[in-house]
Amino acid sequence: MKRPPQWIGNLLSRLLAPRLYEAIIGDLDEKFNKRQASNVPGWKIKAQYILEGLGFLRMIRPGTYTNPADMCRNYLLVALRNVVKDRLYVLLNISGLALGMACFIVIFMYVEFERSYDRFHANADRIYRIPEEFNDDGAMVQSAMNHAPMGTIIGQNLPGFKNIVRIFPYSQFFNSFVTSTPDLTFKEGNYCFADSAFFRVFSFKSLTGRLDHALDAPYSVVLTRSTAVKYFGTFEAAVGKTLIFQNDERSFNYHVTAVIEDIPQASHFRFDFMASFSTLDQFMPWYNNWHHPSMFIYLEMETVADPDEMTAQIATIAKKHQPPYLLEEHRKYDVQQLTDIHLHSQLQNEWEPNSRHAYLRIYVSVGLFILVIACINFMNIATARSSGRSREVGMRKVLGGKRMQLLGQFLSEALVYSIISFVIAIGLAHLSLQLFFNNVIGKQISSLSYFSIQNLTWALAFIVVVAIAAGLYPAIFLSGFKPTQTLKGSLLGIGSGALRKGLVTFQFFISSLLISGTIIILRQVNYMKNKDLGFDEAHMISVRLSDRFAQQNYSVLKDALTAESRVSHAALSSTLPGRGDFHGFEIVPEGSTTGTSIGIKTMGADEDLLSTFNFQLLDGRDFSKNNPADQTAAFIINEAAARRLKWEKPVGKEVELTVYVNGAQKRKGTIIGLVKDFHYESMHHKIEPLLIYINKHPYYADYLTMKFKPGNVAESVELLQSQWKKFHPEKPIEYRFLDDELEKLYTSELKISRIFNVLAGISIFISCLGLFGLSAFLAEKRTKEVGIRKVMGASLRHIVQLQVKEFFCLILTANALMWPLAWWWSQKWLEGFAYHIKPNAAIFAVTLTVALLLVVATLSYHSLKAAMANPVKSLRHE
Amino acid sequence: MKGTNLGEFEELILLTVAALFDEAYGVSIQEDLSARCGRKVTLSTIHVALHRLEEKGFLESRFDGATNERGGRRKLLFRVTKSGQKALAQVRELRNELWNAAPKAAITLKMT
Repeated sequence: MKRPPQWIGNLLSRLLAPRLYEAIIGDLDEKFNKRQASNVPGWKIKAQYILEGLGFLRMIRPGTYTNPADMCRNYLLVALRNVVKDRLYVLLNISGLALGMACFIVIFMYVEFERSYDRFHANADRIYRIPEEFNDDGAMVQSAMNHAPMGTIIGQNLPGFKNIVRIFPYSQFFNSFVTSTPDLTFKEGNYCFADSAFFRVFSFKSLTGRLDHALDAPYSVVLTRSTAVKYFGTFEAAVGKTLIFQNDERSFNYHVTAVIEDIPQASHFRFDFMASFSTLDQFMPWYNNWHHPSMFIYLEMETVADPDEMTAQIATIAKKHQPPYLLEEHRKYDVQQLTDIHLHSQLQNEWEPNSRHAYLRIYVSVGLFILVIACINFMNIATARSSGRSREVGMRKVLGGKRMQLLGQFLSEALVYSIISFVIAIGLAHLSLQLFFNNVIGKQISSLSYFSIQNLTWALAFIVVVAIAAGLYPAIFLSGFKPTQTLKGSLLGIGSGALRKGLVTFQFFISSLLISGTIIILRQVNYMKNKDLGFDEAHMISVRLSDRFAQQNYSVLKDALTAESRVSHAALSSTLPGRGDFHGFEIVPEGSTTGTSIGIKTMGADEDLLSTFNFQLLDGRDFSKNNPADQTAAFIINEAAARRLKWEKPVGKEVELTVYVNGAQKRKGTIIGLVKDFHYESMHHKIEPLLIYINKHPYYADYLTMKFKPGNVAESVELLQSQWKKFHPEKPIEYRFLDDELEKLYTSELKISRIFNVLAGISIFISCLGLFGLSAFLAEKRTKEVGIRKVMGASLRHIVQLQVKEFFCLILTANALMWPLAWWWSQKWLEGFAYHIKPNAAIFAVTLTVALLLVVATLSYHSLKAAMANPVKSLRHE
Repeated sequence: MKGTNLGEFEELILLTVAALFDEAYGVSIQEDLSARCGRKVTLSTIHVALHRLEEKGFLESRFDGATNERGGRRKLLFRVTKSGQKALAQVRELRNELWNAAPKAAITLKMT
C-alpha cells in the first residue's frame, strides 16, 4: 500500500491550528486510502491528495498558531526602545562598526583591484611572459625583457603555442618621439612596437577599425582613444589618417589603422601608440640581436600549460638553437603567468613598478584587525550594558521564551546594527576612495564598478559574519541569565570582567602594533628623505639634452646660463643621482695580472661636476680645465671603489678604463681624487663603486645640471626656459628638480606610510570609542562607590586614579606583548633597505605614551564627571 | 443579523450534517454531497464551511472514531446544535411561505 506524501502533512502541521490539523490530515489520509481500493492510477491519487491538502492553506488564520511576525514586532519595539534609551552606546557601536567596515571595504576594493590586473584579456589564463636572466658585468640580472631572436626560436620550436608577441617599448630606450600632424606637435613617451598578433592575443576594445590585422603592414599604428582625440578631435576621425613620427635623425609617416578604448587601469602594460613590428625591420633592423635584451616576449598557448614544464622546454630549445657562444653565459629563461605579473614579478625593466603580494597581505590583515577591534567594541559594550537587559531576559524566560529565541533576538539586533553600519560604511568607503585613497595609490578605483551580483552576495555574507562575530558572544551571555536571579535584581555585577579585560588588551595590542609600525615606517621614510646624500639636492635643476643638437652644443647653453647671476654652477653629466643609468664599464687596476678586470659604475661629466653637486673630495684634487691630461687620463673614484680595489690611498694609482665611444676605447689614467660615498641610488641599495671621468661625447652628454642661488624658484625656471628658447627654439624644454626626482625613489614607501597613518589612526580611534563607552558604563556602575569614597574623604585625584589605573595596566600589558612582534616585523621590513634606521626603545616608548595619553583623554571625561558629582545625589541613586 | 444568515452552500452542509447524524465528518460529508447532489467539492471547502458554521454556533464538534485508515487519527464529528436546527427551520419556513405565496400559474411543474 502506498503512503501519502509526507510533506503535505508537515506543512499543514506547521501552519494550521493543532486542533484542526488532526482531523484534516485524518480526512485526507482516509480519502487517500479509500481511493487506493478503486482502480484510479496512483499518480492521480497522489496529485489529488496534494491539491486537496494545499487547499487547506486557506484555513491559516492569524492567531491559530504562534506568528513569528508578532514576535518580531515585539523585538523591534524593544530594540528601538533600547536605542532611544542608550543613544550614546548605540552611536559608539555603530560608528565603530561603520568605520571598521569602511576600512575593510576600501581594502577589499583595493585588493580586488590589484588582483584583477590583466584578467580582462579573454585568454588571460593561457598567456605567458618569458623574462630572462643574464650575466651583466659579473652580476646576474633578472630582466623582464628578453632578446628578440629568442622569440623567433621559441616560435619555431615550442610545441602547443598559438601566438607569439614581441613588444618593443621604444620610449624606454630612446629620446621621446615628437609626433605630429601638420599643426599639432606633442612629445610622446608611451610608444611601442608589437607583432601583428598583439591584438589577437590581448583583448583590447576596438572603437573604430578592425584590430585583427591592424598591425600587419609596416608603418601601421593603433591609437588609444585619448591619443586619437588629442590629435584628431574625435576618435572616429583618426582611422585612415597619417601621423608623422620623428626621432633624432629621421621622420616617418605612419598610417592609423584602428583606435582602441584607453588601456584599462588594471593592465600591467600601458601604451598610447602601438605600431607594427614590421616597421622595425625598416628603420632599425639591428633590433634582432643577442646582446641587448629589449623585447617583452608573450606567448599564447593553445591550452593552459604548466609553467614549469614550459620553462624546461624553453631551456632545451634555447640550448639547442642559441648561437653557441652564448652557452657559456648560462642565460636562463623563466615563464610567468600573465595574471601573476602584477603581484609577483619584481624584475628589472618592468613596464612599471609592480605591486607586492606581501603588501596586499599586510593590508588585508590590518583591515581584518580593525574590523575585529570594532567587533570587540560591540561585544564589550553589549555585555557591559547587559544589566539593562537582564530584567527583560528574565521576564521573557518566565513567560516561556526559550533560550534559542533569545539568542535569535539578540543576534538579529546585532544584524540590524551590522546592516546600518554597512550602509554607512559603503558611503564612507566611497568618500574615502574619492577624497583620499585614489590619490594615494595613484589609480582611479570607482566604488560603483563593484556593484555585481557576486559582490552583493559577498556583502550579505560580510554583514552576517560581522553580526555573528560581534553579536554571538553577547547573545550567548545575555540569553544565559537565570530568571530567578535577574528578576530579583541581584545580577548587577557583570561577571566576565576577565574576558572584557582580555578583549580590551587585545584591542590595544593591535592599535599599538599599528602605531609603532607607522612610527617605524615614518621614521624610515624621513630618514631616507633627510639623510645627508653626500651632495646638494636643493636648488638643483637638470635640463635634459634631448637631441643631438643639444648634446653637441651644450656648452653654448652652459655658458649662457653660468653668465647669469642666479646660477652659481653648471655641469654636464651622463646621468643623475636617482636615475639608474650609470653605465657599467670595466677597469683594469694597476699591478693586476692582465685580463683581470673589474666592473664599475661610471659617470661621465665635465670639469664642473664636483663643484656643482658639491661632492666632498676626501683626498686629491678636482678635474681642472687647465690640465689637458684630465680630459682622458684622470679619474675620480668613491670610497666604495677604493674599498673594492683594496687601496687605502688610491690617489696616484693608475687604472685602465674601457669606454665605448664609437667602439671600445681604452683610457689609461691616474686616479686624481677620492670622493666621499654619496647616494647616487635609492637607499634600498648599498653604495656601489663608482668612477667619475671626463666625457663630453654627445652620446654621454645627457644632462646639464644647474645650481641656482636660493631664491624665487619660479624666476629660476623662467630664466632657464628663456635661455633654452634662445638656444634651441624648436625643441620643448625638459627639466626636473633634483630633489623631486630623488623623492620619487621612495614613492611606494610614502604610499605605505600614508596608508598606515590612516589605518593606525582609525584603529586607535575605534579602540578609544569602545573605551569611552566602557568607561561611561563603569563610571555609572561605580556611582555609589564613588559617593561613599567621597564621603569618606577621598580626593578628586584619588578617584580618577582609581578608574584610570585599571586601564593603564591593560595598556601596559598590551604594549609589552606587542614589542616582540613589532620588533620582528620592523626588522624584516627594514632588511629591504641597505640604509635604515635601527628600531629602538624610543619608538615603543612613544607608542606607549601615545596610547596612554589617548586613554587618559578618553577616560577622563566620565571619570571626572563621576568624581565631581555631588555624593548626596550619587548616594541617593538607586 | 448578518452573522447568522445561511448561504446556499452552508445550508447544504448543515442539512447533510443533519442527515448523516453522528457520522458527519469531512470525508463522509464529501461522499454524501457527491452521491446525493453530484457536487464535486474539495475537503478544504467543506472544512472551511464546517468551521464557519461552528463559529456561528450552528454546529458543534467532538473528536472520536479513530481508524487505521486514518492513520490512527480521530475524526472531527459534527452535530447540528439547537440554534442550527432553528436556522434550518427558519429557512424552510421562509421557503414554504414563498411557495405558498406563488400563484399556481407561476409554478406549473409538478413536484415528484
